Amino acid sequence: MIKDQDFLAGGGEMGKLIRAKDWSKTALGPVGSWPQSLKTSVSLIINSAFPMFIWWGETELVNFYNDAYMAILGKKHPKALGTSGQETWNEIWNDIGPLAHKVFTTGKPVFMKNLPLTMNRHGYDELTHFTFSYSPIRDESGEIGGMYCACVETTEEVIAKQKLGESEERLHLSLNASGSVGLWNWDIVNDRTIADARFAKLYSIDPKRAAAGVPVAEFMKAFHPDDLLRVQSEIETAMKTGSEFRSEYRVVSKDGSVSWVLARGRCKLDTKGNPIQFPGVVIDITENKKAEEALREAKERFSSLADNIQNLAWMANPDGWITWYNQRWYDYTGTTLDEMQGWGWKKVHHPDHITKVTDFVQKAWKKDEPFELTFPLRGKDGQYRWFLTRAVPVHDKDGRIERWIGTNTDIEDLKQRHAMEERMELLTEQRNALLKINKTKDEFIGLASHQLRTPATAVKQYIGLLIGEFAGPMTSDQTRYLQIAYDSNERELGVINDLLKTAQIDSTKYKLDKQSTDVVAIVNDCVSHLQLTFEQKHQTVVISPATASLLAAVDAREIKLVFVNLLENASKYSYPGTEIKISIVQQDSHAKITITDKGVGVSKVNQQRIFDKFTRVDNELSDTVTGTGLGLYWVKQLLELHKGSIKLTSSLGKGSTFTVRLPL
Amino acid sequence: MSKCVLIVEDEIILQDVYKLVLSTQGYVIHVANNGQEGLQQLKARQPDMVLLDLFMPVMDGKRFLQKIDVADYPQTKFVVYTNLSDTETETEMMELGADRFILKSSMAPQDLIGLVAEMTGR
Repeated sequence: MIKDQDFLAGGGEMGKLIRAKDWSKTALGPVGSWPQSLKTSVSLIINSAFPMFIWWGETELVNFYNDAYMAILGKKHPKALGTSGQETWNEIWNDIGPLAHKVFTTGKPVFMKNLPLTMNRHGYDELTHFTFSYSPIRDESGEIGGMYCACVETTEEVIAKQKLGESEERLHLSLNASGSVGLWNWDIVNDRTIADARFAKLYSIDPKRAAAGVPVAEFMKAFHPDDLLRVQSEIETAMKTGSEFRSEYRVVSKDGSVSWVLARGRCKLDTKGNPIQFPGVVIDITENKKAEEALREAKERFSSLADNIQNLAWMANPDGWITWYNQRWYDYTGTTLDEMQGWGWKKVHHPDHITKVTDFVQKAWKKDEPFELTFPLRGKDGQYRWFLTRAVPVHDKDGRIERWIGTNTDIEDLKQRHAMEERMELLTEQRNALLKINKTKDEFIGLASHQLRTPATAVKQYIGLLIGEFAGPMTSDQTRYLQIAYDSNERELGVINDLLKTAQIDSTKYKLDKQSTDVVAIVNDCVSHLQLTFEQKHQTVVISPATASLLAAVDAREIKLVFVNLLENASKYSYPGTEIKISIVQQDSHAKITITDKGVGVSKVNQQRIFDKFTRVDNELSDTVTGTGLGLYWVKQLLELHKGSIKLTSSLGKGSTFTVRLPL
Repeated sequence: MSKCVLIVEDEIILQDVYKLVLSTQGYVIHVANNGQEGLQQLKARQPDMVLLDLFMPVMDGKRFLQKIDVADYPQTKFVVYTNLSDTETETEMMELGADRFILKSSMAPQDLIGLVAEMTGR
């Protein structure tokens, strides 16, 4: 037996199996009875590392195979050994049976490449691919005793190739679908740029020409003029260095519309560093650019708004950690974001208020509600101003607080204005109260004067009646005493009259009865009226009017009162036998009247208060002079009511000059 | 024929002294205590002169002048004789037809005699 099986020496596992098998029970019979051609063929395949098998006998198709073929058989090994090939490959016999038959009948080999076969070798159907040949084996008689097969399973290669094709197709489809990615390849040596239809279209070049290749300059014509030089320089750099080319630029289509593109590629250099090819991809990023631009604009708009509003503005995380302030905040506080972020804002709060503010906001952050608070904030000048802060929580789409936004409005002016308004209100109230009191006073003085006059009038009449001897003759003593009583009563009436006159002048409702009147005539009237007064003191009055008349719109009665007072004073406070000078001239649009006496004069101190109410100046003549101290007060008030003025120049012991100006 | 003077005055002591002074001059004197009485007397007596106080109960002097038309009494002089001295009142009374506006307290008996003589044309 051993000797018979020498041809099976080696042959790996299959060699062992063939040797171990009892072939006597098979159609081939014991090994020793096998034709030499079979033995040789079996020896040949089992010693080959390439997958091979033999089918012996045109009908029996007894199967021999080598170790390399075992994997192809799967679970069909080892049963397949010595079994009919048709039985082993029943599921694919329709595919391979005819091929085997052809070999036996024609004696010609068969070659199949990547033949798809749906095998069941692992307990399930699977699509496999095989490249194989069937070759005839002639026996000693020259007939075809069997066939052998050398085969290789190409399933993985075929599937890989199929997948590659599919992904290429998908890529193509997606490129087409997006319409925004183009491919180019620039053959630099020959200056031919081959580009796909999408690329060509972006650069307004006929796709057919682009597919055939055009000089790169034709593509550059579409570059936006403002970008051309820059991109050209970037291309040159890439061509010198072989580094990645990446550039964003604008292309202008034939219709004038502008698109933004992103071009990426890498220039291939030869061993000497010369550029040879420049392939790449271009992507239409117009939409991205627009979005970018819109975002940039939105950001700019936000910051131009946020940084230019008068309010200080801020944003905080949900827990109150401040993340952003507007420029106004920094301008006002003179701080930086580093100092201010988080809880840094406490630094610019007033120490007296910070505890209250912190307590408040810590509670506020926890509530999901807008809040308002006022507090003083320190400016960069160190001064505190009051602000009103208003904060609002901003929610995400799930309703959670995303952030807080807030503004601080400067209410310092408002606060001060309110305080001012309150003060104004108080002042108005006080003024109204004073006006009311003043009115009451005027009414009181008016009524009181009337009521005081009536009994004094009765006294005057009855004493006058006695003195006039209407009630019979009087002794000289009686007449003298009564005269004293009469004069005393006259003084009382004079005081009442003066008080009433003052009340009238002071009254807010006092109105002048202005009429065009000759001022020169008024002065002359007054002098005549006081003629007796002057004569009693042997005083002479010299009037020097520069004009015969000067017409002014005045209340004649009040102006008379003015000059009577001034002239009476001039007489009263001058020594007997002196001269009183009056001059009347027109100056600008005014009548200027000066009354100069050579009297006692008025000291500087008294000149200040001589026009005040109830002022009587002590001097060597004042004891001999009566008065209520109201005369010059009226003079000044009445002249001012006329929009005129009075001025006193005087020196003690030398005399006084009163200068009256009245508008004409 | 004696001239007739109507005194319209509420103060008795003033009525008396006017009567005393003026009667020495031979005037016929009638006295009314207020404006209302004054109106009746004016119609009844047709005086040559009315000496009219302003501040009076029942009807004051201003109301008195408002009630009459001075043109109906061409022979009568109306003299407002008062201790009110504001120019506003004076203007108002003159517009109502008064012939004079005299401050009472400025008049001694002789002054009154002079005034009445002037007004009654004696």
